[in-house]
Amino acid sequence: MAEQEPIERKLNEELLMEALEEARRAGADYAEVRGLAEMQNEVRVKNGEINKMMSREDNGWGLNVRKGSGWGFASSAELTARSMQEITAQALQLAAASARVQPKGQAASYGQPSKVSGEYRSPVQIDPFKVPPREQLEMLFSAEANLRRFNRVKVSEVHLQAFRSFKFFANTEGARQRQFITESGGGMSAIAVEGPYSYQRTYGRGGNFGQAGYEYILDLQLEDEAMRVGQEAHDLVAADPVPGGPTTAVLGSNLVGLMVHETCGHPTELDRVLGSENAFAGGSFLEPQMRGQFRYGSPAVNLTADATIPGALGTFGWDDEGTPAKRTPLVEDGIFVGYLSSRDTASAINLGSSGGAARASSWSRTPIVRMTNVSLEPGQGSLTSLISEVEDGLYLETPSSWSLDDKRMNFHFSAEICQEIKNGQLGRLYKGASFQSRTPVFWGNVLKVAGPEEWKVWGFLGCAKGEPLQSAHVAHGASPLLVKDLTVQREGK
Amino acid sequence: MNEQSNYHLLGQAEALHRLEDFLKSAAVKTGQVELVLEREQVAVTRFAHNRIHQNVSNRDTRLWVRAIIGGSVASMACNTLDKDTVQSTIEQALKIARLMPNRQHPGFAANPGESGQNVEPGSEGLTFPGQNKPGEVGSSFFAATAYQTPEERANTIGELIAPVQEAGLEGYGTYKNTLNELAVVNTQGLRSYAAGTAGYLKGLIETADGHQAGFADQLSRDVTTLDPLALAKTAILKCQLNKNQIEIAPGDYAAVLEPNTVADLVRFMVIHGCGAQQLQDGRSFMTGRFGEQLTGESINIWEDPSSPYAMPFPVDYEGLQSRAVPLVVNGRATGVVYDRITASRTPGFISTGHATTPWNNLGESSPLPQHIVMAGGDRPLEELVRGMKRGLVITRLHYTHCPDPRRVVATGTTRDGTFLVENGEIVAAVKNMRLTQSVLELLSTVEEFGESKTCQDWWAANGMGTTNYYLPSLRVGRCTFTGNTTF
Repeated sequence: MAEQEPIERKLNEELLMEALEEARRAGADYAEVRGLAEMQNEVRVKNGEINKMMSREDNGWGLNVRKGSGWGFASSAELTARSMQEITAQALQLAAASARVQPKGQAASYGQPSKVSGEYRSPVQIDPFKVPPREQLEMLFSAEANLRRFNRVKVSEVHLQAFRSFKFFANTEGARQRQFITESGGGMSAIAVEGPYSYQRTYGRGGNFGQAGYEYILDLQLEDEAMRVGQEAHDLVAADPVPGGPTTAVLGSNLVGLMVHETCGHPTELDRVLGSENAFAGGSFLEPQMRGQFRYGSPAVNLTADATIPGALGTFGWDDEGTPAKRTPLVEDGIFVGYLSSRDTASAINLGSSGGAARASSWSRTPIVRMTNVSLEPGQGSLTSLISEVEDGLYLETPSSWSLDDKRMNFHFSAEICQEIKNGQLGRLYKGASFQSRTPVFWGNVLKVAGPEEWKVWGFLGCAKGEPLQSAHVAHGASPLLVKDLTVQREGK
Repeated sequence: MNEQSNYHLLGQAEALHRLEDFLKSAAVKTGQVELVLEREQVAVTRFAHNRIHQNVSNRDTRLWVRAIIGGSVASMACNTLDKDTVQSTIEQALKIARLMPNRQHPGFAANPGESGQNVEPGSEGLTFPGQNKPGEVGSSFFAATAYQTPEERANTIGELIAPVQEAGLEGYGTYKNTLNELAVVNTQGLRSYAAGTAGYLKGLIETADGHQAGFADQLSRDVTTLDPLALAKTAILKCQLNKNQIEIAPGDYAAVLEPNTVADLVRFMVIHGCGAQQLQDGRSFMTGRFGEQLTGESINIWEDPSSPYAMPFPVDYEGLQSRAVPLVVNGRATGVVYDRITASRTPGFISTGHATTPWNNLGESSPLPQHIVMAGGDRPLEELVRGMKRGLVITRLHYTHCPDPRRVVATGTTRDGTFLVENGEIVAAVKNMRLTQSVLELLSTVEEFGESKTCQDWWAANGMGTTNYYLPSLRVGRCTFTGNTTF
């Protein structure tokens, strides 16, 4: 294990505990404090030049208090005795203001208490913050040059990112938790231009990321992947548009990963179901009375939320309310069975205990229900075996655009790459493939999910939700799948 | 919070003084250094089921150090402003910039006035209405917004909710208040500062069973202009009208698009086509097409950072004055916005003052318009509806995307009020539909312009963008719907 930076020095834990005490003294019924110190490096090479070399530190803390029926959360980048007092007073002022607009007799509930203490560290073999920038640049320049070997590629870009955080959490119920997490990853994009057309091909859309060190970036083999991505961009821009119509399709694991995110992850967020996100992200078609009965998908479809998957972006020791990481079934044999939940949302529908999915994206944000690692559980067989079952159909991989209604029922996805399948073999390339369906219809038409050997965890950096906006790091394990009656449309790129 | 206790607001003199001190103590001998200071205070009060369920506030400071050596740029950032941290950040930035000169950056500006306008080949003589007679310059900062208290926000929400409860309905929404300061200082002598405020109030009103919904929102730099009662009235009426929704077949329909809907569609022209980076990458709908007719002749869209109606802000993240730029004039592709790097790639071009925040975790920072104005009309929405024989009224869209940036194809579902009109009258509420269409094609069928509104697209209003708009409602001859949903 690599030695970690002394990032914990960025937070004064005594002052954070002092804020809890101050809140208690000022009459808070409940308080939780969270300090977060973060470091981030990003290097981006584009069109043969360094496009971005950026490092940043972001440190701060926040205090969440409940007084009577009102909640208040205040936060600051400053952690001094003065700001500790100011922010504590502000949190209580916000709680008092919240209490002004409550139904009569409203009692705030916060579900089962969290009293656990401990420490969690994500594994790191090669510290990404100690890899010389020149070494990173050499690898990026080499990969980026590979993208440009293909003459229709006009814009080429490769990037690396590394994140490290130290989080301290404590509450008035007695929990004290310290978590150290390092994340690394990278990706690339090639835009090919031919006449009036341009077409983008990427590695995993935004790339891929995991809780790991620089070894994860080396494993991505970006220089080799660039040869494939560049070639595909070059070929796609000159390919024919996809023929439209209903078809049998095999979807690659990256595309399936995002579909899981959008059509299972978001609608199973219990705060959406209960209305907290109605005015922004929307609600959900998965209402509480449907749990245990509603057929969400075919028997081949099993979906879980699992914050314990080693090395995945949505893994932790405890969520941001102090609840230990859990594995929660969401869909079993096609039946909708569970939600992503927090303490108060779980309590609101009598789930017993929180699903451990309350997360805050920054020191300046209050925890809300978020995805952890929401995955499609593997079935059996390889990608090749799925393709071999298709007489006449399409293979689609990597999302290029996606859009869903506010209850996550109707959706529209476009794929970066599409290939015909004829008599069980991959054939010619097509561009501009998109498809539209309704969530239970699509998952109900899933015939098979490929096996564990094809199951890959995709780390996404930008899951957006909440106000003020919270951009969370989440992950999705997925194998390719075989689906019938998918109506593919031509986007006409 | 009152004026005296809001210590988070530094003010121009103090902000510039601090940055100058940092530069002085760094004693930069080789290369150029630029410091960008952003201070922000954001307060958000959210309500659901007629009660406040979240009430948060945060104060943050971000200092960006950009260092150039031999044309190579490195950026470092911190949010701690003690001298040791800042000095070490400056040293680190210079150290990294030394690594691999690539002669990409033209160097920092020496004063805020080093921005201006460019004329793209093919766009000569194309100007937007009023370009040669600049009007009133709007203020970006209002004290009433900067010093608003949590109690005032709660009271405003209380006012909004009262008629909702009276009508037996449920209110959901947000009151967001922002105060920000931007200061830029560099070794070339540039000193630049501006402060901004914003208040955003939105209300989604639903029946208890959630089957009917109506929406309204208001955006202003000055919270005293927000009117919670008027907002509630609009959203309640819409919710009450949005009952017994019928399902109609996808296809082409005439439509009246409210300004929020227009913003969601024009957004894709803006983010995929109106910045110099997209143009230079060959991804813009304007690439190779300046002067060409791309939409109907009645369409005029421009960037106006001074417009009092488009959330004005005077400078960009390179400290330069932000200039007005014609984007689409009489339907012809006319111009894009530039920052210093993108301008340096075209001989004779200069920045238009549209550098965006370096605080971008998910990609490169590139210049973008943020104060879009579209020429409109003066007819109220109802008159646009009255002029439609058969078609739809679209209140707003949800989670739009752009599957084809070159053709500016937008897709997204309607929400919170979609209505069928026959012979100028609303005859039924309609289940939500998926609109999928090239925005350029859609803007080629505009029949009438209505009154304009200050607003943001769905993404920016929810923190995922920064573009503000002053846009009219539109009646269009052909709006293409490719699907529908169950509610």
